[in-house]
Amino acid sequence: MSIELEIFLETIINGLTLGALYALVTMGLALIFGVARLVNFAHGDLFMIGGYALFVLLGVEGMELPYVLIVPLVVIVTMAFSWIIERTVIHRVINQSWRVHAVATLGISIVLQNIALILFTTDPKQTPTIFSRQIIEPFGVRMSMQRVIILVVVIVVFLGLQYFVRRTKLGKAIRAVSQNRDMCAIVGIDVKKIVMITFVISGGLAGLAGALLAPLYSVTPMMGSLLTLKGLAAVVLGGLGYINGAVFAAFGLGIIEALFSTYVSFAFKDVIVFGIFILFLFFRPQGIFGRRVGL
Amino acid sequence: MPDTLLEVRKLTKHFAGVTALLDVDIDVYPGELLSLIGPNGSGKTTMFNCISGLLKIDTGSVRFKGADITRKRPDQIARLGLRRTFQDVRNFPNMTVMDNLLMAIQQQQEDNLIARAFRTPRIQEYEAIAYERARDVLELTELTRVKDQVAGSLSYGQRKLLEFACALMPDPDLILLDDPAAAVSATMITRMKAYIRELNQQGKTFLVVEHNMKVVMDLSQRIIVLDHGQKIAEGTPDMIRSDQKVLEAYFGD
Repeated sequence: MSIELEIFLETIINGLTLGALYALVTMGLALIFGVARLVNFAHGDLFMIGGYALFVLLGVEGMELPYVLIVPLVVIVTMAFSWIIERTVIHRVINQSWRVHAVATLGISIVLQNIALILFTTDPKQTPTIFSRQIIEPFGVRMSMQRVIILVVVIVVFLGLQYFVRRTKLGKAIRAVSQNRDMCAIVGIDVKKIVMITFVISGGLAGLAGALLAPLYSVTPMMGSLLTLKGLAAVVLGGLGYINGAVFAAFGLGIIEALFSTYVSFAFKDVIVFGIFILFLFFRPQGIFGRRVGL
Repeated sequence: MPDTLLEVRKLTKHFAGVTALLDVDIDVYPGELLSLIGPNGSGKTTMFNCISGLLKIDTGSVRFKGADITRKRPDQIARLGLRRTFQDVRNFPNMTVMDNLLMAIQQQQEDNLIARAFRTPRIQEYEAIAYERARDVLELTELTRVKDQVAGSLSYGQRKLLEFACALMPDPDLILLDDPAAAVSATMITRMKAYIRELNQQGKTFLVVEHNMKVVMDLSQRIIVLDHGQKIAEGTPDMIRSDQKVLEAYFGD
């Protein structure tokens, strides 16, 4: 295989990994936006919490917990954080305007980042796992096992989420709230409870992203901010609250970002993502697939 | 006189300085069809919103089946067996007609979150019951033909009918209908009237807000008239037709 092709394939795999990260983040953002019209600026910080939870759990002395056990633990930890955030702040502001939402969630973001700063300082924390150290070479392309796991998990989670919102009673109630809130209340669905559950699931997805992706990068207190914005870009590109569209946009952005950083400029990789976002806002604000009401 | 099913006492509601409802009393008796009429802005829909829990009441009380529901949430009131429709139709537009109906019946037996997140055998059992009920309701409202269509693709009249069908799903004790004949075709008005009359004859209780006087006079056993948030008359259709205060409210200054 020529070196050019090898670089290209590695770039695509990088792009898919990035896309998987954005997809996990954007699924949660799209879910909670769809259900509560809430733009959660603290969403990326739940990813950060997931990263630190992984760091802490990997480092537990004398208990070499296997990674497959740690991942669900990390998800539970971030869901617990989400629940606390929902109970303390979100449910008080949920019926207010988007301005209040923005201030409240940005406030949560600042608080979480500063707690992380106090506990872990700004030093990047490494969280290698046995899978991130294990290199495989299918078809001559070098990659870590971690990337394969990430892709598989994201696909499974995506399909699972589809099944959940279309087939289960709770999932259908979540869709129902996203489509008409008053009607939900009137048929006997506790709307606030559904919002709470959605927020916790959404946080769990961000935590899962943290547990999966942190081993490839490093964990810092501010790592969530940029991710929130990129996730939001994917939500808008996908058509605001349309999960499948957002996931498609997330993978698109991931691959474009990877190609751009390999062949054009690594330093300006964020420019291309937000450039696309801004162009869409100008010329196609309804997103790739058009605007829909509800999930 | 039988026991009241719904008992509204001295209900008052203000909106930023405007008095929408003032000391209104309403009694709905089991099995009757009571209409709430009045000029635009007289507080009819506000009354529905207060009864169904979507609006908080300033003062006064609402009792349903003997229980105080004044401060209850709308979903709690719905589960007690009080259902309503909206003046401007509400459905779940991305769901099929069948799914809309299945959403409209929230069984109380399975409140376990974990169970609701999966399809346990018990959940499937409930769903089977709900499905049967939905088929009956579809047949009654003659919507069977469109059951697999997405609600958002139906005509306005059909969506209105679907909302009515959803209200019937849990076999509620009281149904509040907000303008069931508004903005639909003459055929649809005839159909809607026939369904309401049939159900009422079977013993279903209705409280109806309606602008179409012919529908009101045809269907109602009793009528309450609101004007500027206050009750100005109450009685049989014949009494209301000749009531001086009512005529003034509708045609006077």
